[in-house]
Amino acid sequence: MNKVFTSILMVFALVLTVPVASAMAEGMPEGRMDVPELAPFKYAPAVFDHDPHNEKAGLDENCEACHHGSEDGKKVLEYDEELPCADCHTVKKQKGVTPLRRAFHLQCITCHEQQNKGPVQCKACHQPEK
Amino acid sequence: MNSLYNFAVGPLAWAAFIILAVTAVWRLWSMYTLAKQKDASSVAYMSWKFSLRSIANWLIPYKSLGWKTNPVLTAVTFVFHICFVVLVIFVTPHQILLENAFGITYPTLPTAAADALTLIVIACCCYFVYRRVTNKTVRFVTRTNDWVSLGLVAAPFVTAILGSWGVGGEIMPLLHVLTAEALIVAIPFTRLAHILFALFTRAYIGSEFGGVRHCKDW
Amino acid sequence: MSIQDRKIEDEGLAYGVSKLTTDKIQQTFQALIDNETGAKLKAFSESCMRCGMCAEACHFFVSHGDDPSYSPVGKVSQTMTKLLANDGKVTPDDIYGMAQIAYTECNLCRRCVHYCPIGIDVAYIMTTIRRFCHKLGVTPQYIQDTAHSHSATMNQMWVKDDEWVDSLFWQEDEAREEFPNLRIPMDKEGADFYYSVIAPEPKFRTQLIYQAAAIMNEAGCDWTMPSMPGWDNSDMCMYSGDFEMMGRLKRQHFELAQKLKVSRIVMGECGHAFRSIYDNGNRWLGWKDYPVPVVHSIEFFAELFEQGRIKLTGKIQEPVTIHDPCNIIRGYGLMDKLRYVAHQLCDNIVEMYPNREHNYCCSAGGGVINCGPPFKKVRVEGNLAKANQLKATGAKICIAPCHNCHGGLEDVIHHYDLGIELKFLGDLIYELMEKPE
Ligand code: HEM
Ligand code: HEM
Ligand code: SF4
Ligand code: SF4
Repeated sequence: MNKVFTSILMVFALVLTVPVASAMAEGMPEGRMDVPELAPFKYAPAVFDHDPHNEKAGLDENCEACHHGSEDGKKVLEYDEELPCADCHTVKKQKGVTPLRRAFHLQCITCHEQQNKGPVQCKACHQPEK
Repeated sequence: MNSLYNFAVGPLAWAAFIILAVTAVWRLWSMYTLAKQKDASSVAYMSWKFSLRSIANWLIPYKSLGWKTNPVLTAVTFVFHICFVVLVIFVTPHQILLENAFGITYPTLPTAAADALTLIVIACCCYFVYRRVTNKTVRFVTRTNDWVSLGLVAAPFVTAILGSWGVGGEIMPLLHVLTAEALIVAIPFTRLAHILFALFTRAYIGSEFGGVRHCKDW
Repeated sequence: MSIQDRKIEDEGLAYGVSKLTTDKIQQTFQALIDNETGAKLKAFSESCMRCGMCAEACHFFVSHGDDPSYSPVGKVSQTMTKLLANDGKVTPDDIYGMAQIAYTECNLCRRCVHYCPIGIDVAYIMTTIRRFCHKLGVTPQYIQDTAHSHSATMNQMWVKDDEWVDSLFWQEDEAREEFPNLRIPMDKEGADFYYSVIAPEPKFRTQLIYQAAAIMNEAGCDWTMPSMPGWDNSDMCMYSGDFEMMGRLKRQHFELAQKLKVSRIVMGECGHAFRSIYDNGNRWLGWKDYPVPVVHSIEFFAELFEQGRIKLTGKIQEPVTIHDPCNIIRGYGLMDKLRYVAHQLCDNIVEMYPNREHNYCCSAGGGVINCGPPFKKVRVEGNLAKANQLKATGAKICIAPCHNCHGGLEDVIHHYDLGIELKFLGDLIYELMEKPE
């Protein structure tokens, strides 16, 4: 009776057998983010090791791409070494400030999207801890 | 892979929601104008009081004759519908996507709870399938549309739980998003249109029973 | 089973179908959808979840061994769903089956509404199928004969004008032996109300007119009965799908009240006639309310008791049960008034379950009994549910304030050998009331 339904099932079955080429692991070491402010965690902390990442991404000379500063509440691309992210990006929502979690997500995902490199899916960064 | 996924959670998601919004409004609006034009002698009896009375009473499990007579289905359908709505809103990844896009934050379900509810929804869908095959009446009246709708609803949950278990790596979340978007777009055009119309048919029959028939409709 | 396996021979259906072509069917269906149906049908058709929750509601389903083709949604799926899916392109043979389902396997009782979470009115869908079959000229012979009678005589039973007046005189004469001062005032202008009955009363159940006259007289009512067409409040055209004629009948019924300058109409103990004024006929005419107030006999009797205008010699002591007719209970909410009157008359009421607006139909209503002998078996066997309900009460008397219910229950009682006596409220009031020595 039901061709449509069977074919949907077939497609699923097929997809499950596709050998999964995992793009993530390659070249990324074990390190993870350490941002206790964001606890309690629903997902494992994102996989991130500062130096290997930047080497791979060619960011060695370009710290301000991430570590920006601010002037009159506006983001400026000027390296500000001393300033931890959480000092401005509070965990709680505040007017005119991007909260911490969103700041991280936008920082990473937007760049990965633009470069079409690096993970964009939840679990590709938040890899469950073995 | 990245670009396909980015496209699916970005432009395609926008497209799905916009298509849903536009077609849903269009379907409701054209139904409303058709009712005014052709069913004036029924619309005349519409009443807020009796509409809400009927909706409220049917939202109580085992209150109506229908719920009482079909106890298992009633339990399953209430659980299913509630879990559906709760999951769509309160799973963490959805909130995060909303947060990234619009800055919306609210509390979400722990992953274990989301997994459990997702499995419950899948179990409910299995029961629907089982009933559709084994119940003589339901089998007698089932059309392709019913299977398609059920499949459309089940697919995002199956892919979500598989994704949560890490099965299929990066393909599963992509499939999840695509199947969910298929579901969203299909709502106004399949049996899932009951999501749009059920409140209004209930309101109408409630008004009839309250206003014309002076008795309850549950 | 499906309708294909249980076609019943009927001359009306066979003749109507013999003149059909698929083209004509399709054109008629498209015209019906374009001109007569709207959002109601569309929303019902699109929102039905095919969950089958409505099945248990229907006495046809439960009494025929849970046969899905008798379930409400099963009946919809064999008729309207099929028509909509094929844009009306079905065979004449299909139409035969659809007509049989809509006219003889659904009482339009709306019990299934209490079961459907979406709120789908299967009775409306079946009524629409009947309308379609009427337009195709495919109607069961017996009910079509009553519809013809309505068109030709404005009453259901081919009662001629003089026969009607004669019947009233005759009953007046008879009753004067028992009530010397009794009158059946005819065409009395400006009376408080006129009393309308269904045409089977003068035809087969004249004693009901006698009893009504006795009650009106003893209660001192200012009443009248009309001599002119319009006296018959019944309406088989509503059930055959001849809505044009239904409209004419309702108009005549009300215009007669205006002609007689009465302040209201009291309608006899009938269900479908009442449905035709509060539900179907009025809507066809575009009336939300009636031009002249109308009350059903149950309301009228309740009023007489409340005002202490009927003196009784005693009450019935044996157990008595109550059958709630769909058209005035689920249809119009008179369950409490009915119980009030019944308790005035009987000391020992045993309710049957389910009751009130959840009661099972008698299986005669909706014009099904009027489709005549060919369909009797399905209807009677289709009401095992009612028989079991009646039997469980242990009562030997059953009040049923509706003519159709009497017809249907009589057959059920006979078929299942229940030995229960059926009573109208009027029967009991007449039996129990104080009479002149
Ligand atoms: C969030 C939106 C909703 C979704 C995704 C949804 C989905 C579904 C699905 C998949 C079924 C399948 C049952 C089967 O195959 O037998 C179903 C059944 C049903 N839904 Fe919904 N529905 C939604 C909202 C609603 C609403 C708002 C109502 C009523 C006001 C409703 C009333 C029903 C009813 C009465 C059934 C049939 C009973 C059953 O089979 O469980 N649904 N729905
Ligand atoms: C209305 C349809 C949808 C349903 C029923 C649904 C349901 C779910 C559920 C239950 C989960 C959580 C699984 C778990 O943690 O156990 C989930 C995860 C997720 N949903 Fe949806 N969702 C829908 C639509 C969408 C849409 C439109 C998007 C994106 C635009 C989306 C993106 C995601 C993502 C990215 C995850 C995480 C996936 C993973 O980690 O495997 N969902 N969804
Ligand atoms: S007979 Fe009554 S319960 Fe059965 S389908 Fe018709 S309206 Fe519904
Ligand atoms: S209960 Fe209502 S929605 Fe379910 S099958 Fe029957 S008519 Fe359709």
